[in-house]
Amino acid sequence: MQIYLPIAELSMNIFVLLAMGGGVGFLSGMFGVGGGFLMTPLLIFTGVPPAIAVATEANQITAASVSGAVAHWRRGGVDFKMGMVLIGGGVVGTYFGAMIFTYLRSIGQVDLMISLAYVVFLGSIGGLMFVESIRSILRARSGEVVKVTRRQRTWIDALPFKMRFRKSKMYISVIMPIAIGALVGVLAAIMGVGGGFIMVPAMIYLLHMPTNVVIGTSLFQITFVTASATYLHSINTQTVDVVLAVILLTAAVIGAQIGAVVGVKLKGEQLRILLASMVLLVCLKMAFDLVVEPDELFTISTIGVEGH
Amino acid sequence: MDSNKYISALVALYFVMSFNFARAETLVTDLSQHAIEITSQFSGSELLLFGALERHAIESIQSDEISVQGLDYDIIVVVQSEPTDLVIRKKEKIAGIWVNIENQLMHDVPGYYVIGSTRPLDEFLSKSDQVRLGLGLDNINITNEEGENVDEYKEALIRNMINKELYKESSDNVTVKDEILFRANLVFPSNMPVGEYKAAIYLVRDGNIIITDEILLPVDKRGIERVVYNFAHEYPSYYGIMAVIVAISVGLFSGFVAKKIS
Repeated sequence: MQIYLPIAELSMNIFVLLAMGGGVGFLSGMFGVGGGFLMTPLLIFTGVPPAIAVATEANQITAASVSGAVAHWRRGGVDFKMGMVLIGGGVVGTYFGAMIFTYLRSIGQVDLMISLAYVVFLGSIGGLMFVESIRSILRARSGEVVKVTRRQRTWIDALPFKMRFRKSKMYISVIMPIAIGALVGVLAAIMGVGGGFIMVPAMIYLLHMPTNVVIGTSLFQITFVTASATYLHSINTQTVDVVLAVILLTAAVIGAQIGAVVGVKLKGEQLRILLASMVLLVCLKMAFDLVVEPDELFTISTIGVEGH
Repeated sequence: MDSNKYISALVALYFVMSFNFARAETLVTDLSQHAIEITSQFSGSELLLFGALERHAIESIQSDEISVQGLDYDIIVVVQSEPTDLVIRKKEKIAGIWVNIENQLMHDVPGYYVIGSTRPLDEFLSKSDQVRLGLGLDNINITNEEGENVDEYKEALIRNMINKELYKESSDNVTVKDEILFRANLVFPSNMPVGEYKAAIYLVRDGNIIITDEILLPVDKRGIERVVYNFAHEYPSYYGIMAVIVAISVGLFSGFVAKKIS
């Protein structure tokens, strides 16, 4: 059965969309990740214009993260004060991200930017994850114990504008959280991702936040930042396809439930290697499409006509 | 040969004589559907353009028992959407990756252009007429801004449009039955642009276009498709807020349902 997507202006098979939503939902449930970095490329591979894929994914991630954020909040796993600081940076980030996005779209370079951003981020994150999980497997085999050292004071502790975060039991400068929030905001706007894969490690290794509030706080921030990206893309470029977002979302919610059950049965290292391989695979496909000579060197567009 | 000339002369004479009374031929045309509505299940559309030709001229000649063999009619059907401006971009390899480098702005480009005829156009219509009326993919009246290699871009535009099934030229999709009834099957892909389409029908005899007819065909989104599209483009700010509210409520609701189930 075909469904016509009003903003993307193309007709797609609804079962393909549901399968994609369900599949990515399954993976995100299994790995505990948002799935935006898999869904956006998948949409692009199936022929959705990259700009619409990115903006629509931002909208879908708002929905995907809000129930998680609420669940963590009920368990007391959200540091609201830290969340607000991160959101502050994030909203500024999405503003600049959406501005870059709109400008590049008007000169016909937004597809290139999306692909390059994916290749760079998926390549580095996937590579790091892969190496890290191989290492920990090797460590586990050789029976080596990782030494837990008291964290060293670094230049981050020397930054000004310190603020007390009671929930996280921290007294740190707001500069770093704002910067992290802003980076994630830019990524949300130009890549259609929640940015959890950047923010969670950054909160743990850079901000040294207690792990029990990391996931909840990051989901809390992602909900607002992707909402901001959705709003800005709607205003600037009218690229948010609500119909597409709702279809993907419905399937993703169901997939995530099943994925979460399966994920419990698998070992952490195996999961990480699996996820890393998947990330690298998407990255390779994106890179391949950039390098290989396209069948058609010319493309037609109605966008950018005014900007001449 | 001589008889042909004779008939032509006779027909011409008949034209002059009947000038004040009636047209020589009349053409009645219609479409199987007078609008295309893009709904949520839209996956392209097919329409039939059909018509009948009344040949008063022939009948009157026939009544004088003059042979009319060789007096052939040809029909051209052109369907096109409202012309718009488009940018054509060209990729080049830079540092190993393919990047849009140059572009060319084109004006008055129809987003949809399909032409069909009873025979290849060159067999019955002069090149100058084809160009003047914009008949045939090579003769679409596209204007462009100054630039190098404009022809290359124009070619690329047409090639792109053909690949998307938005442009098509065929010399056999107009069929004539009993030399009176004709029909043309029109195919519209799902990626067709919206707007006011025009179907033009030309009746050609002896290299002259003797009758031109035109039917309008509005193409528009309907139902939820229309509501969503218009909302997004006319009230982008409210649309953005709506999109966020929809996402948050669907997210909360599905989270709630999922919790109940598990």
